[in-house]
Order: sequence, then structure tokens, then C-alpha cells
Amino acid sequence: MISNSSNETMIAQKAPTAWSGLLKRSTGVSSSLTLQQRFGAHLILILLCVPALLPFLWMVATSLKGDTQIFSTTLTWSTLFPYPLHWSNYSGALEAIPFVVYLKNTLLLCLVTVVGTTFSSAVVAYGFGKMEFPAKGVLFLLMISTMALPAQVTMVPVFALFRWLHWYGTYLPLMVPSFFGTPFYIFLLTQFYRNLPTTLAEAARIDGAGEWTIFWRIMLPLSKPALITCALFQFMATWNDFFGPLLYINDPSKYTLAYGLQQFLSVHGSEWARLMAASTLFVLPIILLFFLAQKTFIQGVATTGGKN
Amino acid sequence: MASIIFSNVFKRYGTKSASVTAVDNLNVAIREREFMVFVGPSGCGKTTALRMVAGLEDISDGTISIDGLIVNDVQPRHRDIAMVFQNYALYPHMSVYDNMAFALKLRGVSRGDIDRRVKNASSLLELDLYLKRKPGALSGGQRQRVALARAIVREPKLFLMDEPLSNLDAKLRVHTRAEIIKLHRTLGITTIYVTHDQVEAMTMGDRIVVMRNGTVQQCDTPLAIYNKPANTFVAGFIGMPPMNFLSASLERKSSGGYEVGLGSVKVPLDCPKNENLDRCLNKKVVAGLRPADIKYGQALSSRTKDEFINLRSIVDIVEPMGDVTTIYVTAGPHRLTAQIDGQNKIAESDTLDLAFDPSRLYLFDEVSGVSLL
Ligand SMILES: Nc1ncnc2c1ncn2[C@@H]1O[C@H](COP(=O)(O)OP(=O)(O)OP(=O)(O)O)[C@@H](O)[C@H]1O
Ligand SMILES: [Mg+2]
Repeated sequence: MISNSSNETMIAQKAPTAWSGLLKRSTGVSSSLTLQQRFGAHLILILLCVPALLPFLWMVATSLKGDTQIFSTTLTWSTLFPYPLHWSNYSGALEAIPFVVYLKNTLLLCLVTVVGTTFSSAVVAYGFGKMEFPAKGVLFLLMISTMALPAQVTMVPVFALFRWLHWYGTYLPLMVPSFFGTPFYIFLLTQFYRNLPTTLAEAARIDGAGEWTIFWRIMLPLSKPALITCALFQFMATWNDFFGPLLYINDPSKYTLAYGLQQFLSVHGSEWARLMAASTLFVLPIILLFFLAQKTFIQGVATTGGKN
Repeated sequence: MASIIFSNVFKRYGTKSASVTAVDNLNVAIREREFMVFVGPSGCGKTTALRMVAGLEDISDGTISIDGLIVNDVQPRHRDIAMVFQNYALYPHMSVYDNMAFALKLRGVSRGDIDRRVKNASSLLELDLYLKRKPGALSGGQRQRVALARAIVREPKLFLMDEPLSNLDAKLRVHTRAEIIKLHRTLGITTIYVTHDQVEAMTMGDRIVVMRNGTVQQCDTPLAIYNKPANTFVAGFIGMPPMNFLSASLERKSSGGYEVGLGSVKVPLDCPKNENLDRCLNKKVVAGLRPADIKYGQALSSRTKDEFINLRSIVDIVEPMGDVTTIYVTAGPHRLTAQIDGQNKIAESDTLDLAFDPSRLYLFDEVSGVSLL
């Protein structure tokens, strides 16, 4: 009994330092909870995470198993946890597909689309958020309404267009559109710019800044949190994009990871361990990215240079 | 150093059919090196007038000229002005130094010059210790000083300030008020200062423009406005506590002069024949009496007692402030506010003999509120 309760307080004490700051900021409720209540809340949250985590854990576990473990038909503790650890699956996966080449291709695409779409969306969003021009409302509505258009509808005409431009087989169809803004990011950033104090722009205008300087030197730096959010979304979208490369890329040396992985499946269909190892490698950067960017998400917006 | 002239300036917001006139036929000439204060209640168009000078707001009609040059179509950055915003509008992502240097960098000032000017301004406003900090890590008063410093490094020919002290606590406000005046004396830069606080207006302005609903009520030196308010609005707005307004009647004395009837009390008016007064003879008028002009006790010497008009009053409320005491009294049909020496011992429902100098009485038209004297 004694050991039990001390154990509980130990966990409960650890929990606040790690999470309560986060919780407090997001809910503002946790401070009114007792330690026991907080412990219970976390327990429930952890349980709710299980369904989401299970496939991922299964993938990681499988990536470290030998074939005998994978194909055993009984479900016991000994088949659930990989033993011994087959790290060789990873080296095998790296050999079976030109992983480094795919990674390089993917990163290139990610870099270009992230920079392109974040920047172009910010320019358009600033216009919608902070400038006055005729038919602004209608144009904004029109822009928003394109979000409702499913990609499948435009797929064929867009494909025809790129073929007509002789861009088929190059990265251009995957890169160039990102330089024309993405409605969702524009929408997101427009809301952000709208809330930035207009007096900042006015102060800069009196200080001698033109419209472009105001955008580049004042508004863009201030919208960093929102820009990072957009960049993250776009990174994931490009990283995970399977359809784009499938449509436009035919040269294996230009494959991306998402597409190359699928190729792996069709060639080495039954090598589950290596497939899972490759998949783990595929999702790892995304997870890392989220861990690193978490702060930016939570940090929120520090925009007041004013009285507050 | 610049002179500014508002000439028939209008500002209308909204469509033709449903428009708001924020500034209504503004005509003011501001001289070189002058510290001009625009004062008025909330929504009277002070900020709008200031923003039109800055070029942040289009001018609907009329012209504004700076140094004789009409600037209606001149970009803000070409007007050579600096503005201090009500919420300071410091760039949150830049250090104090960069906030101050920003305008100079854009104007292509050399690095050495920027450094020298920023250092000068920061030592003038005692900001040297904070140059590396971001605005978020400063107190309200410090931010306020950064906003001022950012304006003065520019060495502009015109300062515009929109209620720069309204976010400071009372003590700091008084301190910074003096600091801004000192700065103005040192630099001699023409300044337009917007405030809704009549104390700021009185203490800071070389001249004051009193505004109401977009129109100028009066434009003069603080003392002239205090002593000769153009109408009841100005009279009630300038001076603290506000002037007492009493309903009165204007009559002709048997001996020839004018006489103001305040209920049973008759106040002889020592003033030459005047068309306005003649027009209001035997009609109702509004009499004005400043709380500080109502005397009590020691403030009344035996000599003045004879000339002063006595008002027997019953005290309703006493508000001691140390140096002075504000009392709210009922004198016959009138309710009055009086400000008397703080050392008097007065309790509620006391009966006092208050008195005032008849020459300190103001008279206004009952309908238009225009001063009759
Ligand atoms: N963009 C706008 N559109 C419509 N009306 C406006 C706009 N800006 C100001 N007004 C109106 O113009 C009038 C004057 O506004 P202004 O901001 O100049 O007042 P102010 O004297 O500075 O008041 P305060 O002391 O509250 O700052 C107000 O009635 C206001 O509602
Ligand atoms: Mg204002």
C-alpha cells in the first residue's frame, strides 16, 4: 500500500513538470485538477492513443523481426515482440531500393514546394489580409471555393496541360504549381495577417517603407509561426505525395520515397520485414519534424509591440 | 521645422448616401516650432485629422499644406514626418536599436551615422541599457520612450503624436509629459499632439485646438481658452472640475448697466454695451462659474467681501484631496461644485457662506451656447 501510493505520487509529480505547462496553456483547466484527477486524465488520454499508435508500433516491431516470427500463426508474447532484433532488415531495405536516391529526390521536391508555396501563399494572403482593392471579397470567395473542388476533377485537364507543355517526365508539374499559392494556406495566413496590427504597417510606411518592404521586413517576420505551420503541412504533403510522382514521373532515378516504396512492394512483395523497415525509415523524418516543430505550434503568436 | 495649414479640410467615411463626417471644415494654421494640441472628447475626429497630416488617410475635401506645399497627394514617406502611435506600434521582432534604426536604414543613412544618431536619441531618453532588448521585454513606460526615440532619431520636420501617454499610469504620465515638453524645447520641432485629456492640453500646448464632432470649437493659447471660452462646450471641457452652468436671466439695471438674475440673487455685470447682450435682454441665458472661482473662509478678505456675491449653500458631498477640497453644494435652486482650500474643515450638510467675484461670471446664449461676453 505504502509503496503503491509513493509510486503514484512519483509518476504524478513527474507528469506535471512534463505536461502540465502544455495542458495549462491549451486548456487552462488543469490547474484546477488535483494530482489524482490529472493522473486519471492522462491515463485516459494514453489509452485513447493506443488505437492510433498500434499500427505504427506494429510496423516498427515487424521491421525488426525475422521471417519465422513474422509468419508464425500463433499470437503469443514471443511473436509479438521482435526477438532477436534483426537490424539487418534495415540495411537490407536500404540495399533493395535506391533509398538515398529517393530520399534526395524527395527532399529536393520538399524544399522547392515548401519554399514556393509558403512564400507565394504569404504574398497573396497579405494582399487579402491587409490591402484594399476592388472586388476583394469576391476574389477571396472564389479562391476559397477552389478548396471545395476535388483534385480528381481537375486531374485530367491538368495532366493534359502539362503534357502539352512537354513537362511530362520532369519535376516541373510537381514543383511549378506550388509557386502559385495554395488556397488553404492562403486562407490560414489571411486570417493571420488580418489580425496583425495595422499600425505596424502604418508606422513602417511613415518610416519610409514601401508596400514591399513592409511585407518583407515587418509582416513576413511577424508571421513566422503561421508560415512554419504552412511549411510543415506542405512538407508532409509533398513527402507523402504518391499520386503526383505516379502521374508524372516515369524514370526510376527520379522516383520519390513514397512512390519508390510502392515499387518495392510490387517487386519484393513478400519481404515484409524489409518493407516495414523501409516504411519506418519513411515516416521517421516526419515524426522527428513534429517533435522539433512542436514548440512553434504551441508557442503561438507573439505579435504585440504595443501596449499589451 | 515646418508650418502646417489646414484649409477647409473635410474627411468623410462611407458611401455618399450613408457617410460619416469625421472632420468637418477644419481650418487651422500651425506655426513653425509650435506645440499644437488637438483636444476633444472621444470620436471628435482628432486622430483622423492627425492621420490626414501623416498621409495615412485620404483627404475628402480641402488641402493640407506643409511649409506651403500642398501634400494631399504626397506619400507619407516623402512628407518628412515622424509619428508616435497610441499603441506605440513598435516592431515586435526587432530590438530597440533596430526599431530606432529602421527608418534611417531605409533612407540609406550610413552605418556610422545611424549608430551616432541612435546613441544620441537613446541617451536623451535614457534607453542605453535596453538597446538590445525586444519591445516585448520592456515596461509600458520604456516602450513609450522607445516610440519617442524612434521618432526623434529621424530628425523630422514635424512630429505627430496620437495620445502617446494614454497607456501610462498617472505618475509616469506626469513625468513623461514634462519629458516631451523638454524634448520639444530642446529640438524645437513643430509638433501636433492629440489627446482627450484637457490637463495634457493645458499643460503642454503652446496653443490648443478644441474639437467636437469634427468641427473646431476654439483655437487659442491655453490661458485664453480658459479665460475666454468660446462656448459652453469649451467652457465645460477645459478646466477641472468642470465649470458650473446655472440657468439665469439677463436684465437691465435701473442705472443702465446689465444685471444677471440667478434666482433671488442679482449679479451686476461690469461690462460695456454689447450687441449680444442686448439681443438676450430679458431672456434666459446660461451663466458659468468655475469651481475655483467660488471662495470660502480665509480666501475672502474683508475688502472683497463687499464686492463679492454671497451664496448661502448647503454641503452635499465633500471630497478632500489635501491641497484642495471639492465640495458639491446646493445654493437655492442651483447645484454647484466648488473648489476651496484643503485646510478648511467642512462636513456634509453644513451651511456655508460661499462667495464669488461677479467679474468671474461667464455668460452664454441659452440656445447656441455661444459666449456672450
Ligand atoms: N475607417 C472609418 N470608417 C468609418 N468611420 C470612421 C473610421 N475611422 C473613424 N471613423 C469615425 O470618425 C469619427 C472620428 O474618429 P477619430 O478616430 O478621429 O476620433 P478621435 O477623436 O481620435 O477619438 P478617440 O479619442 O476615441 O481616439 C468617429 O465618429 C469614428 O467613428
Ligand atoms: Mg483617436
